[in-house]
Amino acid sequence: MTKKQKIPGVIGLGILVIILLLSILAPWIAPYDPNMVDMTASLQGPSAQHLFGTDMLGRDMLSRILYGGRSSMMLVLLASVISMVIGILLGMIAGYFGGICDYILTVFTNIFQGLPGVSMMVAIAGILGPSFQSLMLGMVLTSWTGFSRIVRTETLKYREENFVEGLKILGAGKIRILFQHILPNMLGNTIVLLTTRIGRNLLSIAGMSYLGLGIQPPTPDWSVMINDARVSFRSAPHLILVPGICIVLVVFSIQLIGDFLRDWMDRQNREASEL
Amino acid sequence: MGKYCIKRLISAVPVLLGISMIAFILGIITPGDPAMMALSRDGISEVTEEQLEEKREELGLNDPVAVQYLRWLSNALRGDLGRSYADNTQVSGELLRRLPVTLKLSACSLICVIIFGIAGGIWSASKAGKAADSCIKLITNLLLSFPSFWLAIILIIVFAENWKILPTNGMGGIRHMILPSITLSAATIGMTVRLMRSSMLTEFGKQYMLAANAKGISRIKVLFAHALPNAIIPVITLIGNYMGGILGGSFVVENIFSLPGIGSYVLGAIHSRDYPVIQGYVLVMGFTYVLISLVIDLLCAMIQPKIRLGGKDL
Repeated sequence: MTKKQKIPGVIGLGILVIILLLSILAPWIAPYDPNMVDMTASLQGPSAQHLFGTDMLGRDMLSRILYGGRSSMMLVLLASVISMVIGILLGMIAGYFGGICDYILTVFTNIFQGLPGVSMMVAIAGILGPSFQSLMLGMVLTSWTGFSRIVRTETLKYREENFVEGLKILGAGKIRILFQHILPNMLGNTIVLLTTRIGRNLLSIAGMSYLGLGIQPPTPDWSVMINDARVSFRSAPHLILVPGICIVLVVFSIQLIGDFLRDWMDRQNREASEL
Repeated sequence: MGKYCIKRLISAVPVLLGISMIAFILGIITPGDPAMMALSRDGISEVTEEQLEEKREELGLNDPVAVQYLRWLSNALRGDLGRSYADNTQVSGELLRRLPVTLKLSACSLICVIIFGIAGGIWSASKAGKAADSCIKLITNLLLSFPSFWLAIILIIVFAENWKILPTNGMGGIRHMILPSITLSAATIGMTVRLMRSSMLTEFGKQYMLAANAKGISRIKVLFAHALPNAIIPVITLIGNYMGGILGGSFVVENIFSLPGIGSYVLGAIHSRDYPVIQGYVLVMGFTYVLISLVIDLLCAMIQPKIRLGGKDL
């Protein structure tokens, strides 16, 4: 890979690492308590005291921005990884064992894919109330199908390969073949999908939080901040712009990393097939 | 073709049944007693034990779960999704009244996707490796990163508040649909441009393109008459999948632009804990999406015989 092709991936990784570090270190570097209300300092513009100004309730914007990504990023990362694990397990079972097992799991995948976009998340958050657990459940239920689908297809492909036949003759057990020999071959593609999924889940949770179904106040959150700032966007447009740019930057950097990984995987596959 | 149609129709049945089961289960896991909810809605009436028992019997809550599901399903198939706790109206009636708004919004977004997505992809592919291509790549990446509500707010501020050229909310002519459908389609446009670009580039690498170029056919003609018809098929196949994102994303957009569609109905219902409406929403969204994908699959099979003759199981 030439240096030039690596640039976007490196930029993406750089942005993401900076944002993650700032969010993780928020309790130590934030100048104020993100929830400290100071009505005398409401809706101030950027100043030396408040670098990004203050919101309607006089809370320090910089501190809120630093804290604002923590809950949703945590939630999304956890939910996406859990979906990946579930998807890999079910996909491998469906692909390797085939038959009735495959049929049932494929129907299951189709059912969950038949519920469009975030409607499952909306319904679960609506019925169980917007808690950490219900958001997690909704996200996992909408995300696992993508993983199980590609893992199933790949497992079907590898099942017929010579090395698997060889392993069977040597007497290797099914579990051993699946986890030690087939799984490592698929990890690349699933990790590419994981990056896409994390980006999309971040946007879904942002939409939910904006409508009051996601992260709940008083927890500082970028989407909730945007919603709070709608009434005062004329006098203080930066209250909408800054948290929005934060969300865009996170998703954008994940996107760049995902593209880089995909190109890299393609190259590896091509080189492997040329050998 | 007939055989493929029947096979595809049959394969949709278990999916539809599964979606109905999920919708039903959502009703079961609701916290609290539905009979109590229905009776104490107004917040004044004192509920007695007899009334509660009577209501439970009326709603069939004393029967086994399987019986409840079958009764609920047979009612749903006859168009009865129960009554809203909030105002005691028929949920299905209200959903059907609002469905056209959501479908209209989705259709407008789909048109945006087809126009901008496919045109952008063709243009990007024809300029592959040049500055314009990198520029489009950056734009598609950005489109995929915007949260829809944020994009909507920015669009409203620019087009409606500052320039005052487009309305911000409510229903009306086609002008009311411009901002909502652009917001709703932005991410899908990004995906379509990428897919169209890579699909075109795959065609460019094939032998028949070399032959067409060697014959001296003009560049435009090679692009549109030779590469496009082949390159567009994978895109059409995936547009069915993208409809899911559009339909599901509509509830954010409906809320921001105050469109009276299904999404804004369910949002109101969530705030008033109106569970039958949430159940109905899941059912209607799922069925609409499955039916749309079914229609698109059949259309694809009509365009391309390889799909229906290939014998690939779905």
